[in-house]
Amino acid sequence: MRLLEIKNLVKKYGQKENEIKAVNNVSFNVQKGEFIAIVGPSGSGKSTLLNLLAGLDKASSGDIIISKKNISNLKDKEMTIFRRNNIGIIYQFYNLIPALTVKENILLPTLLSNKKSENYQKLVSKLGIKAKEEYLPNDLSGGEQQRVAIGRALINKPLILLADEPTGNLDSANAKKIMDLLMYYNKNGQTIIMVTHDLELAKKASRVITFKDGKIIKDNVQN
Amino acid sequence: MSKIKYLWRNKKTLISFLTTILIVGIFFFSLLLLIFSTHQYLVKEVKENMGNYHVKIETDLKGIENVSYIKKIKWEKEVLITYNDINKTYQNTKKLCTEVKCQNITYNDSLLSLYGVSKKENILNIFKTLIIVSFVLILSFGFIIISSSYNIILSSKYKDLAILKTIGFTNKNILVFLLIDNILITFIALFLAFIISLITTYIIITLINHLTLEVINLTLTINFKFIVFSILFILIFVLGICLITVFKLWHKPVINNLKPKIVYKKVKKYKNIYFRLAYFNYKRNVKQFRPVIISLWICFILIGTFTTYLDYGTKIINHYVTRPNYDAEIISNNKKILEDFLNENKYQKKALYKMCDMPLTISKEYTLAKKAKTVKGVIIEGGNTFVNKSTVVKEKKGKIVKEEKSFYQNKIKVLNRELKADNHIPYGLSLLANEDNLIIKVDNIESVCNYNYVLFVKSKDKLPLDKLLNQGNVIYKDMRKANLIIDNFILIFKLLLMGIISLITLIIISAIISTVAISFKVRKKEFGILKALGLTSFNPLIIYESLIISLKAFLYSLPVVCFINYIVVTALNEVFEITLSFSLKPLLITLIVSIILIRGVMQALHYKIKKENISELLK
Repeated sequence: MRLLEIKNLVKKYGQKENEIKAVNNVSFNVQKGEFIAIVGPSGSGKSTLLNLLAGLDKASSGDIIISKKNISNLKDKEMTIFRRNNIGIIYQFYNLIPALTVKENILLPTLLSNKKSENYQKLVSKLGIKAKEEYLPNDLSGGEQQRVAIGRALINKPLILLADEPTGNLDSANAKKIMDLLMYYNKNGQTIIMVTHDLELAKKASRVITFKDGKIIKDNVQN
Repeated sequence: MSKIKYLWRNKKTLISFLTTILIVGIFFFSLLLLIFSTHQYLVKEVKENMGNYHVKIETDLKGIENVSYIKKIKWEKEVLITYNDINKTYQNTKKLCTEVKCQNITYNDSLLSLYGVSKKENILNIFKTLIIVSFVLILSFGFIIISSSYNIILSSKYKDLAILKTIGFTNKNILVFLLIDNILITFIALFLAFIISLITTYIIITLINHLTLEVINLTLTINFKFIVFSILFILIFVLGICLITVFKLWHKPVINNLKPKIVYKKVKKYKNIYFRLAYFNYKRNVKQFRPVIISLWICFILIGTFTTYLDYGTKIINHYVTRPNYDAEIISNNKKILEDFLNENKYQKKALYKMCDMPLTISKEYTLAKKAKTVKGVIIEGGNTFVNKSTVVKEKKGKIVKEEKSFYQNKIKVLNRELKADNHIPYGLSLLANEDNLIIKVDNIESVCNYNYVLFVKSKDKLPLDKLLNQGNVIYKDMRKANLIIDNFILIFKLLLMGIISLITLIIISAIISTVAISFKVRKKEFGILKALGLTSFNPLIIYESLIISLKAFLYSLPVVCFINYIVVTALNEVFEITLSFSLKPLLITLIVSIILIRGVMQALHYKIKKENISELLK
């Protein structure tokens, strides 16, 4: 089932002579349950693409269709609500709310959408952070914080999980743990698009899209 | 030169600090100048009315001209002495009276009170209490605002100063760096503030003189000693803050300032997510919000205090001052002139009497004091009654009391007729109902005295009194002016209060804007995260934050305002009959305004952030 369609997506910065196309006419589709790694050198436009998919930025032109809904033209409020219910995002620097405990950070999306959190216990057990529910983010290690971020991203059972360099700020041991978790959730049906500069990690995905200068130069399906 | 360039590059910081000190300085100096001018006016009035001396002694003082501590001696019935130092009046008098024989020592308490020296309780002593209370409040307010502004500015400089340390600046270098920076700005701001305050005080004084129709005639008085002392005091205060800043840097490792670690405390959980986030943010940024809360707290206190002054001042004036209840009193022996005048205009109230006055002696059998009383009889036609009710304002055990008294029995015999008591005061004669007059109504006034026709009128419109002068045999008293002067006294209070509140508001606004702006800058990322997570509206968050800050300041100010109210009424109660009253209305209005103000500032800042890209906010 086609979950995500990207058609002729363009994102420009600057004007006229100084214009830069961070995303240059990109098109591809994502099936439900895929684990896609987007790789490429720094400044190739990978993170920009992810921001566009998450609705954190507006494309200059092109369409993004998620579950048959074109999000390119949604107004800010509509996009925010859509993102709340359908998209989970993990960042390189976790971006947890420092004043909220682990539990509160994870449950925050459900509070915003007034939903009951049915899978909270299961999530925290799997993420291995049950014992630190009442801790503040500052009291956790980098790996633990990223696990909390994953919990927050998955609590509403999103259609797509977007991860922007999720292991970029972690040591190799923690990076492996995070990757294992992502693969676990992918095996359980979660569609994941991950941006990474680490080719070794990218190999673990089912499909690798290589970016350069805002364009897709390679799109490999892996076993 | 490079120092000035550096300052100019940090324009926003420079202007922010300069403006704060400028506004506080204007406030402070204007008040000082107003107090000096009022004090000088009161001293002048007391010297003119009560005498220009410190103590009056009945004595035969030969040879005292050469005493070193005496400035001036005036030989009248008694000896009027002025000392070199008014503060030592009592000691010097005691000393003098050991050398010569003294009798009937009378101190000029009014003059001594103005210098805070008098041992006797009188109205001018209250002046001292009120001034001290107001001064302490305004000084604290000013210092807290300056210190808070400085801390806000410094918090953004900590990292810069830490970087300077990493490249080799010693603590001494940094101290000098800060001192030159801040002393320079403070000095410039205070100098400008003094100049501006001279202008504003001059305008205020001119306004007061104009509004009181020169009944009060203030002149701008500058006490340079005090002004210089105040400037030095403020400069030393700023110096102290610089030292504290450097000390904070000194004892921490440099890395702590390069990468400050914020420690978050757990707080109570609330169900409403917006309130939780608002409360968490407030708790996390308590230090940053402190200047806003303290500013608001002092604002509530100052407004509560000054409205107390206004309230009690108005009460005292309305209680003790008998206002004429008519706009004009017109006297003529030609009834037609007055009747024509009545016909030409419209009146809310009017009364035309046949009236005369003459001295009367009421024999002791008719007086309550059992002593014959000689008064001015105010005689009008109509019935055989007299007004047995007088309004008396007098000093009783050091307190000014106003009471309604009867001096006579219910029946008196005067002007060969028996008169019954009637407590109704005819319209227009309320000012005459005092112990020196006796209002009498008689039949056939012609048989008692040569009367005139007297007309009392009250009208909404302006009365053409000048026209009457052309008709001859007419005199009039325009009481509207008298009422206007009384009203203007109250208006002056209100204008001064509004002026003070406006200045306070300016200072509060600048404190709120700078604090909230910094808080928002730090929270940009948090806003981005919340937006990314799906928070659509920040309005509830902003409303809760403004409520938390305003309510906290309001609740903390209530006991202080009550306490100040109590001090003020205790001081006033020593001289006036005044009851404690407390009005929450001005404080509640201030609370609502502060909530709206803080919310407005946050909303404006949030609107700015809203325009930014979420992905930019997250970086």
